[in-house]
Amino acid sequence: MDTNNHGDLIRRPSSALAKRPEPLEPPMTPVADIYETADAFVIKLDMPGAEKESISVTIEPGMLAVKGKAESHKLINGQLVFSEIGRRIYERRFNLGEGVDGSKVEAQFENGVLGITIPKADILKAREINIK
Amino acid sequence: MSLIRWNQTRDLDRWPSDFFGIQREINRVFDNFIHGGVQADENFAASYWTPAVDIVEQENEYLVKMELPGVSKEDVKISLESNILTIKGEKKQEKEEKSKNMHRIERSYGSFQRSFTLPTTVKSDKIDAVFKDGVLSILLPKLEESKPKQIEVKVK
Repeated sequence: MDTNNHGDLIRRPSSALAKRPEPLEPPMTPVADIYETADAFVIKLDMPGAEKESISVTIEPGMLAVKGKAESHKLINGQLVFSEIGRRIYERRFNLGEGVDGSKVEAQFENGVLGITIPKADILKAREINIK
Repeated sequence: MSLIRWNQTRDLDRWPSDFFGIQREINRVFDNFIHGGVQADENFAASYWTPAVDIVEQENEYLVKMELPGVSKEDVKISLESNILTIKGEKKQEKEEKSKNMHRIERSYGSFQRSFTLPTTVKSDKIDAVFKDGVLSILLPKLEESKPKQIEVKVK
């Protein structure tokens, strides 16, 4: 074995270490208000700074998952002299009961607030009963 | 003395995975104590909630970012007196929400006020503010004399 090869062997582990991705910051749970209207449940989540394109709302059986990222600080060149915000990866899941219609969920993002409207299934809707 | 304020969004079911967040908070408090730098002058009595803030020092300006999701820009007031920057305002609960059957309320409402002492003087007439996606960004250009200058030293 020549010395070149040897050097390569020694260098390899350290270069592998150097390429290791930055440790991932744990996602944060965005705070939410949940309220009920006559025919829907509404979830409002504070997700300031999230880029609209990064936000996803996924419906799985019995579950609604919200994800989003706020990474605008990456574009800023400068020294952080006071920091409370940092990088934000938003993630939160909600359990969906049987009384909702998961096929008609609507979402909109405005002013850093994600609003999700989940229509109630017919069985949960208030009905007026005709008196014969 | 620095008081560490409670951060609702950060503390919400984050323990123990947010251990490094606590570490960061401690570092931040020590950094502020040791290096002086930007100071937050908290007025606890006047604030019902405290929006999170980042301050970035750039070559020609300071950038102050404050998280204000769901706050309309008409309800925010920014003022600068000598070199103390004050941001205050109110987050109002929407009328439709108030009248509904609430299941969960985690978001904060009410007035807020935060003040920051900036380390160098800024051009008070050239301050610019943008409100986008619930984040208020304030650009405070530095005065010429407070910008870093390069001095050439001749070696004989």
